[in-house]
Amino acid sequence: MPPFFELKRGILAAGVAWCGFGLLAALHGSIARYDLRNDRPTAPALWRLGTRAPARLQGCLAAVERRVPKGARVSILSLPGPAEAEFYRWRWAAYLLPEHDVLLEDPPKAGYPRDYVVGLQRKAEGEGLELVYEHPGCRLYRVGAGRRPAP
Amino acid sequence: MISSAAPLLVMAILAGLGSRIVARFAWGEERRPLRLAFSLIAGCVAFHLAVTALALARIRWSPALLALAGLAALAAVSWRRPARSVRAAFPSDLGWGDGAALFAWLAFALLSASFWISTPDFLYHWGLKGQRYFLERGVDYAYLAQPWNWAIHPDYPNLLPELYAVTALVAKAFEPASQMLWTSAFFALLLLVCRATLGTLTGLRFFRQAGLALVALPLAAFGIGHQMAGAADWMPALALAAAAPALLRRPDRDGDLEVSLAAASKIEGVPLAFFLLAVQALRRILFERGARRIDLRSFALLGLPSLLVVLPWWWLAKGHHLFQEANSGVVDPARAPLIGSGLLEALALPAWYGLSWLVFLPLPLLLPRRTRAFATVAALQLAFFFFVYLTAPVDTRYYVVSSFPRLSLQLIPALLTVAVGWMGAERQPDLGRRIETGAGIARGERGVEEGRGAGPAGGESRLARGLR
Repeated sequence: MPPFFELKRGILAAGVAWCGFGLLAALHGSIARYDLRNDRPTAPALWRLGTRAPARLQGCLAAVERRVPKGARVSILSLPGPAEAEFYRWRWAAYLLPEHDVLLEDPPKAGYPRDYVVGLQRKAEGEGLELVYEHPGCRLYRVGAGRRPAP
Repeated sequence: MISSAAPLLVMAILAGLGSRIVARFAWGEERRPLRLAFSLIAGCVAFHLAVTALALARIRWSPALLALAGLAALAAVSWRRPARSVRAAFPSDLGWGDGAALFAWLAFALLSASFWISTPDFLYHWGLKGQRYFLERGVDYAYLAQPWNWAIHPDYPNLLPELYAVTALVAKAFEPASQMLWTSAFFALLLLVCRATLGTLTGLRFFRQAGLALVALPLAAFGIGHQMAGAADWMPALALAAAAPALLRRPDRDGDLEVSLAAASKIEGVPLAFFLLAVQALRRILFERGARRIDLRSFALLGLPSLLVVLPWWWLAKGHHLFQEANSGVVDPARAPLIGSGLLEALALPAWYGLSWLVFLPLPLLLPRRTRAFATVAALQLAFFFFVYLTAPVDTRYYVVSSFPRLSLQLIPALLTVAVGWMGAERQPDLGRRIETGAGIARGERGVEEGRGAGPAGGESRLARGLR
């Protein structure tokens, strides 16, 4: 028998009981969040596939995808918000448009050449932007020749 | 249906190929339970090497090409089959801990298959890369090198997205929910490996069963609560757990295949592989110092799989300018208070149910001679995490809070396994010391080395068999 056998046994038994409780609590919490998944708005950083907010974005970007040639550079413009909302909408768009190079329409870093701009619930402004498609959740603009910086 | 079966089909093919690779290594009977896990590990690493070779040759994947490469690899490893081969063994002597582990695994696997507990990094990083590689039929370095793609960690090793891509290639579509099966598979292998390790460390059934339950339950709880399905951290966790038995027994001359899995999976897996190899090499040198000459061939074999993984990764990442400035910088002590407060917050997160502190187990495990080599590796990896926090020019506190709970997953399963196994080990100081230092061998005490006469009365102990 190892030294302090009964004490070690007791510690391990208590640890297993605690971890069992932890798993049940994690399961309960996860299922409860699933039940409430569409009841309150969440920041884009916390979106999960299958919930309403990313589904709306998915619908909009599916329509965009049909109108944009494969491999095009698409820049995402969206409303700033808490918890880096713009950044995470951009990352979601990149996941939902895997055949395209997806950039963040970020004026301070402007200079990357792009072919299209997608405005998510936001109008894009600027010279050379031609509105080519409008969806309830987004607008697609083609970048005119004069607006496209040289690669 | 096809997309759900695709990961299973890819796993079966890779495990089949890997089992032939593993058969070429010397496997003792006591390592039979590890065989299944090592087969999939070997298959994954072989696949990674094959597609890396294709990337170096700038050849795009196709199902026919991959099938051909698989057949060629199978022929190569099956040529001159070793005379003695140890078959994989499924767990025997099942108990309540196995039941608890199965429940935990099923809970995680079912929820992950629904995609509800997928990690956000699947969307921002691993899954996005997997989709892209599937569409481009290979690792798309031109895409990774675009300046705006800093957000997807372009310099990370690519094994996981490659597995996602080849699964999609088999399914002919990228189906995110079915890709979660990879995580469930790595979790299952992790449990198998921890179970086998506990079996070598302690002969006491209660400790073996409790140890397995103690690994499975919090891992599943963390995986569900912290949304870890689809993450790559399971792979370094599996690699470390699979490497633990080699660090706990007498140093032998086997190649450490599992180490290369760490290097192929995540960027922090590269230092983990280095620490594993360095500690194991040092142990061999100490062990063989009584011998007339050091077996250089075995040293080359030790590091070869990892070298084959790391060198092309480094070459391709450097060649495409993928290494990111934000990865590390100059050590700035001013970051220490931020790390401290971030660490306290990370440790207090409820996802680990208070077990996050176990990540510091390497410190007490450095004390017993038996666990020292393993604890050294874990302590070095932990120190590496803090080195990165001290150097990375990013929002330090946020970085610690957002990454430390996830990084802990890489260490905690193996640490818990070794700690519980050590708690349940019968005391045999002489045997442990002699085997650790190799002193017994140098003096020709073969009986002690083989565990004869050193175990409990009536025959060889499980501890001694495990060490052998």
